[in-house]
Amino acid sequence: MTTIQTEVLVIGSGAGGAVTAALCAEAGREVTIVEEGAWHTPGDVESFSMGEMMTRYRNHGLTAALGNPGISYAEGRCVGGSTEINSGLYRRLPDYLSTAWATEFRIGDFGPDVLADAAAEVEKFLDITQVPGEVPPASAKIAEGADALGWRSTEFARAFSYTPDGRATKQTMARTYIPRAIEAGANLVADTRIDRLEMRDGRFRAAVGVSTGDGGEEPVRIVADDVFVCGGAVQTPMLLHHSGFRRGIGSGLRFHPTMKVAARFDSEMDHGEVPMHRIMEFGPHLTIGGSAARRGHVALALADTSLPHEEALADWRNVAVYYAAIRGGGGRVLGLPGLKSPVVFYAMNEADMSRLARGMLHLGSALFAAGATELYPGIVGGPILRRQDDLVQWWEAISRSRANVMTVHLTSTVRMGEDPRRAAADSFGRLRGTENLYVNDASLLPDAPGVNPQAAIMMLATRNTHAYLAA
Amino acid sequence: MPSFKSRIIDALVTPLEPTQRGATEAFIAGSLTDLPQHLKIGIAVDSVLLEVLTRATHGGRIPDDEALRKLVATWESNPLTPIRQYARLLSSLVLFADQETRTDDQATEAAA
Repeated sequence: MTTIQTEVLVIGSGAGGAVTAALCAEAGREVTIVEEGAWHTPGDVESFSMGEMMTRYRNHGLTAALGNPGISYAEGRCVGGSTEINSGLYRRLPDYLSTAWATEFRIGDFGPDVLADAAAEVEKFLDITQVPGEVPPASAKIAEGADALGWRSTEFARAFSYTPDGRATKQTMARTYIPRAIEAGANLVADTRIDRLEMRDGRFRAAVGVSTGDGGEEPVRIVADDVFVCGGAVQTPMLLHHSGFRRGIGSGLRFHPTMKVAARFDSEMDHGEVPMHRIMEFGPHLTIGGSAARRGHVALALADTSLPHEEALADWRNVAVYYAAIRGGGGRVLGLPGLKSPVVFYAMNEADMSRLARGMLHLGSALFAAGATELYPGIVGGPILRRQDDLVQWWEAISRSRANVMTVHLTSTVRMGEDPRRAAADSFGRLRGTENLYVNDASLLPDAPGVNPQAAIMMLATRNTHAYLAA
Repeated sequence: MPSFKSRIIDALVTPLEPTQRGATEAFIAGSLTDLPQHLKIGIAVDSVLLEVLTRATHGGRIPDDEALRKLVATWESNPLTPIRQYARLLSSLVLFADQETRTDDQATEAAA
């Protein structure tokens, strides 16, 4: 057995864990970061490619929440976590949401001013900017559709840096906060899964797991003064369940149920990156945007109807993939004895299904208004549409047995706040009933934010880590 | 003897050069091996039931590739969720890997 002794243990190296580790290390703490996945050199595979799915996605991207409908979701599993596989889009938590959450969940020191300071710190380091130069065609179509309908759209900023000749590099955690943490003295232990936390009298003592780096399994025990669990909204509650924590943990799962449409145009679309425009007219409960659209993704989106699509696939360069995402439904994550993978459940009621159907109609309207000639919805049996007037057919077609629903933004499984009936962690992420066990990832968000949560997670992790260091 | 699941995958993978086919098969095999345990159990149960059903309706044998492809296509819109999800999982894996391993010219040619 390998034994490691450290002052601060950070479990997970994604948007929450990387920020926590860097700030703690820079404050002079002895930090060990443990990551279940491997280290991969950033940029050694193309974004959203098969190679990326094989090396950086948990379960090759094949994970699903059980329910009716079942909902597929994706998580990263590598150094840098999901920041290595996402779009890099960055959107601050809106002030009205933070204000509402502060009241509803009794979160202390959660005002817009406090959060803005934390967000500014993140943004300054990550070079948050908009895409320089001309808007790529697939993204421009969202803005065109919105403009034609008189809807509000916006171009999201991204965590990308740009060379003078315009070459873009996504500012993932493996490129930014993890090197910063290591530079400040943190120890990164990759390929190591933590299975259980040892507690005594409310105090964390050690984390126990296995190192899988060389293909074998070597037991590992890490003793630390304090621990931050930052495995994300699915892995964090599973680890806590396996460590004997149950109350309020895993039961508040929220995400953005999402359906896609492949849209064919008369002109060529771009396929390398995710469109950065979003229609915010119906936000935060409904967001319309663009999705990854490599040829493989275009093929999957076209095939979603199970109807013939060969002609459109041959024309894939003129096809882009879009989505409608809602805030709705609720679920739970269960870490069961004997199972290494968590079991995830998610339920959507009739109102949620109606909202999703309405979202698909709005999305279809925007795409036709932007000049789409053919729409392939994520509905088994379609119909594939060529005219705006036929969109109403999707309203009838979207049912639990025919809708292909997916998501990527999972949150809220260890909510924070001062109401012990609703929040398993306090206002700064310390788990109730413990002295030195903190959660600092998407699990803490009280609800799904309606947009990519990376900005909210990093902001929150920054705020909470500063509070921890100041205590 | 290959499993029923493998027979379906063989039937769905379109003709490719050996190295491309190898990459496609490695991705699919890796993905199925890496499934979460509870989903893997579900897939295994589905495989057994669908093999029994297929054999029962085809004189005790598994039909040829063409007939298997047609069967999977019908399962993809089956009202029973486990059957639909099983077919969609396998065909989506093959489709994505197939597109990822082909060159643009090969993909255009295959689609045409």
